[in-house]
Amino acid sequence: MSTVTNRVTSVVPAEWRHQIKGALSRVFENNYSLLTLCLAPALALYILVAILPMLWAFNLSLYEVSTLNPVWEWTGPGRLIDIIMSGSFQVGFGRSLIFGFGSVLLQIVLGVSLALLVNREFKGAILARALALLPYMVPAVAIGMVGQFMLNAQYGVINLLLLRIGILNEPLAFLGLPETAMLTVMLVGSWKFAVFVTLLTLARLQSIPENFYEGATMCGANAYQKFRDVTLPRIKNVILIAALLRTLWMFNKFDIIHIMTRGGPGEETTTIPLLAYEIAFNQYNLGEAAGITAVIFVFLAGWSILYFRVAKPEEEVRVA
Amino acid sequence: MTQIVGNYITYGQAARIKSVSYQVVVWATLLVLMAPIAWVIIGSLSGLDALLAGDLARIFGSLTLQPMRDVFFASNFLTYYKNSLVVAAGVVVFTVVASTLAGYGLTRVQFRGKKWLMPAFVVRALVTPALLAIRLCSSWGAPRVVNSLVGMILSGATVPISVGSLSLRMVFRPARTSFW
Repeated sequence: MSTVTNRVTSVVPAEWRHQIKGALSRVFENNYSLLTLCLAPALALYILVAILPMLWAFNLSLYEVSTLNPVWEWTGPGRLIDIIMSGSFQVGFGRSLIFGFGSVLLQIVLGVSLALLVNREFKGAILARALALLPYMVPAVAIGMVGQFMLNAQYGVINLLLLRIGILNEPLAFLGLPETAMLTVMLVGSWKFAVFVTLLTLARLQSIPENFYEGATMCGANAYQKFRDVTLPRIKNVILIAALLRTLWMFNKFDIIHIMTRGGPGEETTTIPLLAYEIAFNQYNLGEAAGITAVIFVFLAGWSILYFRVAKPEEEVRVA
Repeated sequence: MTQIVGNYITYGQAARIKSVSYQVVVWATLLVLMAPIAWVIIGSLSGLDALLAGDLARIFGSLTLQPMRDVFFASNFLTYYKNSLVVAAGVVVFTVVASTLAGYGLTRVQFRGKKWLMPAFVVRALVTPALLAIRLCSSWGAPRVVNSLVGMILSGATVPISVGSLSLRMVFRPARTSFW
């Protein structure tokens, strides 16, 4: 290593080395040049891939734009009011709320239960924890396709098993019936995304000192009291963060619903992202789709403000 | 040595029964959780005909490696696999370098508006991705980044970079400033 360094230093003239050293120390001494140098790659990409397309989409929402017509016609902010008042938006928004909050509720219950289950030490605990986190590694697209296949009324394995056990008398089209489609998509999605909650909760559970439980045992606390007085106060912030963050993500979830039902049967699972997609790419109305996105952005921004005020993620995500 | 005394069981036996029951519950839960993954594996070894027949006996009775052979030798799987590796490696390298730099810069330098950086990074999650993709496709068309591995790496790195910068900031924070 030192030989390589020596070779490099012998190639670069001493005067240049001195100048480079001086320039580097000037950069590191000046806060703003250091900040610019450090933040430039991340910020440049973020602006290019996220901020600029977002601003473009908001601008687009104020125009009547068709994918088939290059001319943009000004409609103004009144378009956003029309979108909010429209029936399809209100129904889609309602479905998004059901899908978002319903999924998060399922994920919190499943995720926290799984974390509590694999938290204790036992033979094979490491393997059990690794297996518990496995669904999160499976891509949402694959989960959607596998779910569709397993739940099929003709050849789906879930129908076959339920018929064999005697729970069903005839095959049930889980994704084809208005009564079951939304719940089924929520369950399939939660199979993967509950693991995110498990991951966060498990990390926090592992940091609770064992002597807290020993103290509670010596005080005569039973299992429920230990959970209520030792575990829950320490994981409740993590649960809150996971709930708020997951609501944000589930509200904008597109891939798994699109693959499993394409918004059907009828429009039973057409949430806002699917509605925006349908209007943009099937009805060729980019302006209206952007308007829908802008309205939802305002709603989710309000939700995010709540997230930062209530959950204080910067305080929660700290190095122990 | 524990033993049953009358109708009672000893403390050791009770603890053992509790531990075994607990493990049974854990492994049974994991078995249910793993069922879809197991089904994918079984399905990949039984072929489409057996799966579409809807007969469990036929599915388990016709396990073969032929579908796997088809994947590796009768499709472009290896090309897709190579593309995935390139994109994944590119995203990881780009994310680690850019996030470490950003995390370091954010820790070292105090500046006005710093507290708004985290909300700014979260903002990306508030917009439907499909709509952002339209702009990306049109603006990246000219430099031929659309439909390229570079384009996928750049767009794939956006979210990890924002999360990584903030997480690494927390990592740099406990280090003493005198270290530098």
